[in-house]
Amino acid sequence: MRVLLIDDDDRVRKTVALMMRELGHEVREADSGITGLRLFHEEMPDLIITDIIMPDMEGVETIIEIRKMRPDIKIIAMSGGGRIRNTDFLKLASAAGATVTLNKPFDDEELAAAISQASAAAGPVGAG
Amino acid sequence: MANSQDVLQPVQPAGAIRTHDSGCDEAFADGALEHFLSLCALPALVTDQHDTFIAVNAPAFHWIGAPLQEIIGSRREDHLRVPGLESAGIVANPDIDLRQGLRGRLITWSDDEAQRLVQVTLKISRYQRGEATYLIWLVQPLPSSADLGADAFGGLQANLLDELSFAVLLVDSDGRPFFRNKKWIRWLEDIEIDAAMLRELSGGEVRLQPTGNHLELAASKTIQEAIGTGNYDQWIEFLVDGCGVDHWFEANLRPIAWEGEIFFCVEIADCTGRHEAQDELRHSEQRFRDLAEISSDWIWETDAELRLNYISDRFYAITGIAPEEILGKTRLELIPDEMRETALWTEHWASVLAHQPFRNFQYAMKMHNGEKANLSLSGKPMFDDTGGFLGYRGVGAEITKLIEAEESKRIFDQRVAHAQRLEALGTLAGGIAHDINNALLPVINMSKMVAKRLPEGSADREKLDIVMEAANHCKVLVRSILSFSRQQEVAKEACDMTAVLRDAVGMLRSTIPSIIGLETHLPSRPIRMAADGSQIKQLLINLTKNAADAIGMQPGRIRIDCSLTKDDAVRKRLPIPLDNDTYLLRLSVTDNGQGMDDATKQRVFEPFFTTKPPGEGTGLGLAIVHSVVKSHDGVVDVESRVGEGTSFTIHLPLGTLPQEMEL
Repeated sequence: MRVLLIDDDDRVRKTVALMMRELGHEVREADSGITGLRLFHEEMPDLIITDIIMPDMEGVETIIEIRKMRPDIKIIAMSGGGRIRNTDFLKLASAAGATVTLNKPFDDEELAAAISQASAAAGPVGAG
Repeated sequence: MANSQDVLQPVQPAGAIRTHDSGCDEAFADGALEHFLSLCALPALVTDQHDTFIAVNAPAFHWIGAPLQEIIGSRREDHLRVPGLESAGIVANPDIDLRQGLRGRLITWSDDEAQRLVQVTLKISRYQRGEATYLIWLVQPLPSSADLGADAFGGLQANLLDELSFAVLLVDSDGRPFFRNKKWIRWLEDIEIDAAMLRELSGGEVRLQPTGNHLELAASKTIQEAIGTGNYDQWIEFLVDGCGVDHWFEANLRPIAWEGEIFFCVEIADCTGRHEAQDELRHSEQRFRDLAEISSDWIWETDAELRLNYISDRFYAITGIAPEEILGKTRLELIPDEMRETALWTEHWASVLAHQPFRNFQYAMKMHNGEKANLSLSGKPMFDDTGGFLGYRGVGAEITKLIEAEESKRIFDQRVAHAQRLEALGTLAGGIAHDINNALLPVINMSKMVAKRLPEGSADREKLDIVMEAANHCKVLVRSILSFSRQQEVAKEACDMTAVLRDAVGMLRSTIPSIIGLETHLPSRPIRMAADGSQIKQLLINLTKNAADAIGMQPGRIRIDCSLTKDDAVRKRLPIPLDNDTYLLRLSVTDNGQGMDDATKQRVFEPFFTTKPPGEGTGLGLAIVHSVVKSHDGVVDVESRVGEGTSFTIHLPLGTLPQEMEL
């Protein structure tokens, strides 16, 4: 599977990328939502894995933008538990169109399970 | 007045030494007066109807020691003064014959200041010759001061007595004075002068002031009474009635034996000033006591040995402690034993022993029934004029109610602080959880990847396993923190609490060790409640897990009760007011585990407070319980006894359900 991984935290991104490769997927990395959107156009990935809280472009915005262009794409939103300003970003991500949400920190098994769940999903969950 | 030198023809050896002055010869014409004077062993002076000296006898001449012409012709009043005997009318005074033992002063003709004043006792006799009346003044200078010489008391003693600042009388065993010191004479004179002035001012009609005689009489009366009753060596006050102006004196008699005779040395002091001061003091003391009785606090006094010798009635009214219980005792005797050794007390008592003032010293006093009274005392040391310590005087207040109020305020403040701490920690936890979770992701997964490549059982693999174990505990901890901080936001909806609790119990049965018996008493029918069902579920799970942990890996029992109540006492403690017919959900979890001491109980809801070994508990389970209860406007109570077990009881108002929330 061609996967686009978006996370501003280098260590997290490198780790998740390694995990995905170990699981046998092809991974492209983006360190921001803007880079992610650019790579999305170039690579046409099968799956997006994106962080929610990022500096220049929030993950939720990224999800909304991508969903606009590819309503059928599977998106896994991951977060370390956004509790800033009392908004639960994972809930927001689901509402924005994330197929599956994943709490950090997760291990390879949880990641694999999330990918399977996303792949199995019929379409965008909670989209629109 | 004095005649010229050539007129001086002393008659010798006759008894009278006189000048041949016209008008005087008549008196001596028949020789009777002369004969009388010659028989007198005492100094005698003769005055004519003008109260002028016309003759002296030999003893008088020798005693006076002045030139004859200075004596003869001088006015009696200028030289021989007797209180109460004015010059005018003296000759005509029919009482003059009776005048014996009069006290007076002879102002001698000497230039020597020290010799000028001689105290005398007098006897006056009347001598009638035709139309003319002459007075013979027999003067006894014996017990006077300066010229006593070798007489009974010796000049030195007499001089000393005259030097005293207080009045001294020497009286015989019948109380008759035979010596007056200068001070006493001065008093007599002063009082006489005052009286004379007042008499003059009032036209002689009104006598406002006592005279010298009044004073002498009052003193004599007092002295004689004292001798009669043997009242020696103590001060006896006597009043000289001044017809409106009171003069107070005091006399002290000391018996003295002298050459086989007893006489008395009488000290006399004017204590009018002190009397006035005492009256003022009495009034002020009365004022003080009156104030003491109406004051809301009480007033106390101790003697110099710090024994309580006065306490106002307010003390009994306020504390119910009878004054007899504490009067005569020091405060040291009245404090509880455990207080005696405290630094607070020893420091205080040291300052009291050093006679220092103190303010609002708070301590407890034991009462005879064993109870304690909480007191606050302020005290001021009292000293006499010479700086001698007399005792303490001060005020006291009962402060049990104050202490209780302060204590409840302290507890209230503590609760507020506790609640604020919980909130702050929740916010903080939410903020850092995100970063920790991000950091944990590489730790856990990179370790796992490396570990996979290492042979199982190798030392490096074991090290990485520990890293992963620690990271996973950290992950659980952060989840709890997040969960805790999430409790502050509730999504209340219509719930069937019976179903929610049954659901939770179902989950618990699979997680609680089977060795522990789980007994549940849940309602059989649905209970409608506006609540966040998942939070309530979490609450029951946390309480029950906590109970299981308290029991440990051993047989035990946990009992879960749920019922509805209208407990008024609980209702009053709820943070929001409730209608009287609103039910409360009462949920309790009771275990027979190890129990908690008071210190643990105090902190049990504090986030991150745990008694479990490091790495096991998160210290958030009960903090979440507290948070859920709070967000549902309820109260949680803990009862616990070490070794017996713990019981958590939660009361939550069912709340009013909007129509759309109806089940």
